[in-house]
Amino acid sequence: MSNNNFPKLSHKEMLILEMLIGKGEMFGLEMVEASEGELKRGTIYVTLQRMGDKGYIESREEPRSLPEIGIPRRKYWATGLGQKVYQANLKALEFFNADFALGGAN
Amino acid sequence: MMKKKLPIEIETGFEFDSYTWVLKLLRYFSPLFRKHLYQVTYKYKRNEAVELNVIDLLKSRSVFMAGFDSKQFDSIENPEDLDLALENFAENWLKEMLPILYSLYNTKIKLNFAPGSRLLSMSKFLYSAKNQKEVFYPIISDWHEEYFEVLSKKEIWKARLINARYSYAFLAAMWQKSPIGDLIEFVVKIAKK
Repeated sequence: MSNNNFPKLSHKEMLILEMLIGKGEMFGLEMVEASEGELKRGTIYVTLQRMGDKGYIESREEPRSLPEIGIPRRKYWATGLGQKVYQANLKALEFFNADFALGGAN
Repeated sequence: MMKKKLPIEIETGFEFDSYTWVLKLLRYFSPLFRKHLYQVTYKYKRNEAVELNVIDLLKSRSVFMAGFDSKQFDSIENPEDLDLALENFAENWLKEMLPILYSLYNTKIKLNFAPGSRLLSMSKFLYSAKNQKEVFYPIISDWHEEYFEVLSKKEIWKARLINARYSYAFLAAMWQKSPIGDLIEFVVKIAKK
């Protein structure tokens, strides 16, 4: 059976899901800092929005505590689907790498 | 109607004993509050009678208050309700700061546009509410997080650097969310295949 709808993740999406699965809930800025330059401040929220639309992650607003006021920050976490898709992509990547290494050895 | 200009500065005297100045400011600028983000900063002169621990606490917040949004006032149409909402807002806002501000004199308070305010206004005009909520507001939120942190340490040059970095980040996000950005991304994807 062929499945053309395999949910392939980009490198950035893999990285985000890896962090969210490993650390639980995170702010966008925390992810940027933890990625050591791989995620950018300007593009991470566009990626997160797309991932949210696909159902891989969810988010909620975290209100600031007084006396701090301002725009609430947004916290993100991986959904069950996101975790499944991440595991599937990881397995596919491992399989591909192992197969490639085997082909290279022959 | 007379045009209101920012920034404005207020110098408090020794008799300063309430938050009425905030209410005056909020009322005076209420039409503007519906459009922009603001920041309030202050410079203080030490009152010799003030205990050291209060000064220490103050130093850690010598520039305070992140930019805030007027969203919460948008739905209020009745002027009396708006007054009440602003009053509650100021009261909550200063609950923690008031005891510290009491112990000062000649404090200069400045109200100005918060960083990213104009960019956010521009994005409000160009993009949907969903994009505002999920892309542009979080960028501004992070921007203020980093900006006010370094500003409270009085690292002005670093604050400017953060402003430059986030202005670029904001414009990059606007570009990515634009139809032209989407189109170019699509063409690049096809070309790669």
